[in-house]
Parts: sequence; structure tokens; C-alpha cells
Amino acid sequence: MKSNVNFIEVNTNNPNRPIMKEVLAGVEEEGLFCGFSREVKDMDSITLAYKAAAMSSTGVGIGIHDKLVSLAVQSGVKPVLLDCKGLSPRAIGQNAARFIKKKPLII
Amino acid sequence: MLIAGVDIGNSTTEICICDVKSNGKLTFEASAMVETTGLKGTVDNIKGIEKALEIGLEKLDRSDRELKVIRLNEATPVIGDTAMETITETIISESTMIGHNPDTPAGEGLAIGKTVLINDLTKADREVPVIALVPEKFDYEKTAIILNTTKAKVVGVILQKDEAVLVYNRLVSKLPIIDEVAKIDELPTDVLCAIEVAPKGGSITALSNPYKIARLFDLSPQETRQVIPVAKSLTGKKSGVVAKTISGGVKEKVLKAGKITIESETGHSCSVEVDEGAKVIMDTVESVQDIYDIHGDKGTYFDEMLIRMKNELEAMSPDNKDDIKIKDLLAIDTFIPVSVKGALAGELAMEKAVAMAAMVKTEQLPMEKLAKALSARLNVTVTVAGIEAVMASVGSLTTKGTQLPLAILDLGGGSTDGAIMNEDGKVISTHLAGAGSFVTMMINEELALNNLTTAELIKRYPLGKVNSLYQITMENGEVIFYKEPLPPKLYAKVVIVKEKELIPVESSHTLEFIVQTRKQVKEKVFVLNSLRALTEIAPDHNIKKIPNVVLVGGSALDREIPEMIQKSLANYNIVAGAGDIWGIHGPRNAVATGLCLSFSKDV
Repeated sequence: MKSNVNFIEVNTNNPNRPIMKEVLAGVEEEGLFCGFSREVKDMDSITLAYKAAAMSSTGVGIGIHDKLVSLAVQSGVKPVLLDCKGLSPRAIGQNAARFIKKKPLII
Repeated sequence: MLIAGVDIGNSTTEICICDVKSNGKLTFEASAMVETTGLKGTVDNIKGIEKALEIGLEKLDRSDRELKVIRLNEATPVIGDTAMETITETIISESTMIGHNPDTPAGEGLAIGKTVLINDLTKADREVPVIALVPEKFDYEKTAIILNTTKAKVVGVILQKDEAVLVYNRLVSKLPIIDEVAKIDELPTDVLCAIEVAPKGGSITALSNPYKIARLFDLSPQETRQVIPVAKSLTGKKSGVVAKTISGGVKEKVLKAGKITIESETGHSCSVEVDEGAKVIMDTVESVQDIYDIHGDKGTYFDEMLIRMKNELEAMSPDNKDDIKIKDLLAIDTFIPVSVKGALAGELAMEKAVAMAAMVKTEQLPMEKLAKALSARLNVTVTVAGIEAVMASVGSLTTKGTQLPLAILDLGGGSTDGAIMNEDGKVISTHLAGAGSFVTMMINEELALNNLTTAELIKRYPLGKVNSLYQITMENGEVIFYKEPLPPKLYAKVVIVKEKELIPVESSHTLEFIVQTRKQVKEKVFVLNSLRALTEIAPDHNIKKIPNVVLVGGSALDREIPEMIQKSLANYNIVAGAGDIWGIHGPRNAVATGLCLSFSKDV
């Protein structure tokens, strides 16, 4: 569902479309919106996530490069990369939303 | 000359080392505490005693040759243990109910219709309202397309996957949707089914009311009675499903928890059914003045506990096999969450239960044997000196501000012991079932933790809630900040704050609920037992005749328990508080200290 309010910023570099769709579905299932994603060239998913977090109003950003997905949060002093090892793209999207909702994360 | 008092308890061995001058003057030198090795009163204890003495003497920097006398306590031959008897049990046959609480249902309101699988919607009667069942293989986009184009009169949706919001956002006409129903294939098709999703911030109101269920499903008064457990387990939930099958039903079965038989010294015996609840059980226990022994029905948890305790004590004191008797029982009513048998999505129901602690006692432990072995090993005089309760009273007198007559409450792990020493030095004592480990068991059961270690930590340490990656709000509202981000697995969780360490509590309970449960359990066990113990030992059983009470033992170190007892005893005008042995030990080391202090009197 498209909306003008972006709680979570998504930066992408040539993303794998089915994976990106799953990430966005995860965010949506938790009741939040992602809005549009920004295409940035020549960056890995971690840098993309950090950039997105810095731009987001809630401090939560997702970076997607090809099939790799990263999640960064700007919590207080400096951005922190949340470990996404072993998580499905859907779960990473859910965690991004859960972080804002202050709900325990999927691990 | 150095002397040492050694107190061997069920879990810890404490020592106190004193210096005795030739004029008989005695001064405190050092103390130590180690874990008890082996069962108390057995030769296995020597290892622990040696270690404790080594630690103590090292502190003094004096050789062990100066140690001339070791005094052992006449350890109370008492063990406590605990058991839980569930009285009711909810069984769902043929899956008629799901008391379901997914994180993210969608839509809101109540819907009732016949259950139909999503791929059979085309065949469904267009006049009849239906609830669509969507198994895992249909993803949210496919589901939304089918629901948007179908001619059937769909009023509600049940999903197997966690996709309620995704489907809801894509629907043209909005419906209540429930998701995360793992065993959706066990839900029968073509039966009348009601689903309800609560409005934001609220909980369901229709399916948690038996009369509402009766109206929806057109139930007779008899049938309405049968759905009480369904309604009960749906109270407070965000969403729920109830389906009516022809043969199925939900039963609240009353389990046979058996009965408890109490024998008195005079040969009388009386029984009480466990189902009658804690109050009736306790009234029966109180009515028997001189308990000789207590039995439970064969096969019950209570009976298993009694056998376990008797066996343990028998191992400590093999010669007194026939004297091992259950002397006290503490029962407390409780509600515990138990998983519903036959549930579709791991539902829990609150079941009635009775938590019980018992205390087993024998005449005497064979301490002389231990004394002889210790003497031979260390080449020092070892004497078994005095009853534990007397020694504890003598030791407690080193607490500033106390006077005779002095009552002590020894709040241990297995039992709560009470003793009173009058002006002539005469001591009356009692041992009651139920103490620290009983509190741990009840916390474990009431919060459905299935982890005694976590329960023990919840009992001891304060809780906090991780609010961001850099801060925790403690249960008292204080906020702690961290320079480094906390691990994400702790995020938004309730954590036990054990000094520097943070341990997550793996349960869905809120911080407030856990804190409240912890306080209630402590209060129920320790306040009740303190009053029981003091009433028993008080002159004329009149609790007001006790001027001051000193709390000692492991549970007196607790942050909350001494305050709770203090508060309840203040009503009787009794000065009570945690002991402070020698002014430095707090409520620890009372018995070991008493053993040293009584040395000069005995010689």
C-alpha cells in the first residue's frame, strides 16, 4: 500500500525484485508503510542501510543490493546495524517495523 | 586459641572463627561460606568444611595449628520440598474453539458464517454467509484476488500464515481477518463458525461471553454451560474463533487430585480432598494439633513429593528409617497457564491448581559419625554442640538493638523455622513447610516459564524493560543508559538485571505482571508462614507477647521479603527486621556464631 508517510526508508542498488517485495510485505504486515524506495548506484547493502537510516524520520533504514538485505537503526547516538543472519527477507522487513513499534525482534 | 563454629545447612556451609583468650574473653576473627558438599549430616560434608576453614584462616593469615576446637551444629533433620496439583483441565475434542491471540489480526468486529475452503468458494451457496479458510499455499496476493472477485458472501477470513494485514490492505470490502492459525487443516469445513477481532486497544467482548456465544450458535441452557471454558479462555484476547461441530465439545475436566490424609499422634486421622482448595486443606492441617504423619493418594504429584523427601532423608539418616515422618504442609491456591489439549494454535487456559510444600523430619541426624571423621582428619577436638534453633538465637543476639525474649525466623530454602528464647535462655522452636524454593516453584508455574533457573533469578533480582538499544527502564522507573548498543535479541524484552548482566525473560508477560506475581507469591508464602511460626512458638500462642523478631537465613537477604514481614508484624506491634550478625554479616552466619559464643559457657 502506497503512502506519503515514510516510516522506514529503503535504499536500493539493482535489487532483486521478489526479495524486495518480500521485505516490503514484512513491513506492511506489521502495519507500517515503506513508501517508495530510492535507487543509489555503486553501494553495498550495509552502506545503503546506513544512508537510509540517516534519512529516515524514525531512524530505521533498509538497504537492498541484489539479493542482500541489511537493516540499520539510528538509535540515539550512532547508527547500529542489526544482525539479519539467517532471517528471511520477510522477517527483516518485520523487524524493521517491530523496532519502531518497540516489539521484540524475530531472531 | 582459635575455635570455629561450623553450621552445615541443606545448601550452604557457614563457619565462624573466634579467638578465645586465657581469661575466657572471646573475639570474632573471621567467617566464610561455601556450598555444602553432599547431603547434610553425612561424611561427604568434610570437603566443604575444610574448604571453608581454609578460606577463613587465610583471611586471618594464621596457621591451622592454632585451631583447637571445632563445634558442629546439631543439624535439624528437616527437608522441605514442593509440588503442584492441577485441579481442572480444558480439553478440546474435535477442535471447537481457538482462543487465539496473534500479534497482527486485521479488520475488526464479529462475523459468523459457514466455514469454506478458499478454493471451494465458487461452489458455495451465494445466499449463506461464509468464513473463508486459507491454507499456507495461498499467498496474500492470490488470496486478495480470490476474495475480491468471488460471488460468495464472505464475512470473515482465517489464515494459516501471518498475513492478515497484507490481505486486509488489498481487500475492496473490508472484513475481520485472523491469522497464524497453525493447524488450520484441523478446522472442519461446512460448520458454523464465529470470528471476532477486537477494536484497536480493546479486547473481544462477544466470544468471551457465554450468553453471546449461545445466541450466535442457538445453544440450549445445557450447551451454554459447556461453552463456559471457551468463553473463559477467550477473555482479554485480541481475537478469537469459535466453531460448532456436531460431536465435538470443550470440556473442563475435573482432575482427580486425590486426597490428603493427616494422622495425629493420638492415632486419629482425617482426610481432605485436594480439590477443595488451599483454605480447606490448611484448616484441616491447623485442626490437627500434633501431626504424626501425612499421606497422599498414590499416583498424585503430592504423593510423589512425599516419597522423594522421605527417600532423601533416609539417605542422610539410614538408622532412623521408621522415624521419618511428614510433619507439616503448606497449601496455597493458584491459577497456572496450561496448554489446552487439542488446541489449534497453542492456546493456553488458566487452570485452578493447589501448590503444596511439605516438611519431613526425623529424630536426629548421625552427626557424631561426622564429628569423629572430621576430628581424625584435622586432628582437632570436634564436638557436636547444641540444637540449631538455640544456636541461631544466641548468634542473633549479636544484632544490635535486640533483647530477650527474642524470637528468630530462619527463612531458608526448604523450610521456615521459628524459635523463641526467653530470659532464662529456654528455647522453643518449630519447623514449617514452605520457603525460598517454594516461592521459586510458584513463580515458575504461575508465569509458565518452564525454567527454574529463570524463576530463581526473577525471585532475586530486579527487572527492567529494554526501551532502546541504549537504555533500560527499571521496574521502579529508574532509567539506565549504556554507552555501547545492547544486543538486538534483548530489544523490547523484559530482562532480569543481575548486576552487570542482562538476562531476557522468555515470556509474553508484561513487566508489571511479572513484578506483581513475584511480590504476591513472596507475600503469600513468607507472610503466612511467619505468622504461622510465630503463633506456634509465642507464649500462650499469643503473637502479641513477642517483643522483637530477628530474621535470619538465606531468604532474609531478599530485597523484599524482610520488608513484607516487617510490615505485617507491625500490626502486632512487633519490632522485626533482618538480623545483622556481629554487625557485619547481615542475616547470615547466626548458627556458626552461636556455636562459638556458647563455647565459654560449655567449658
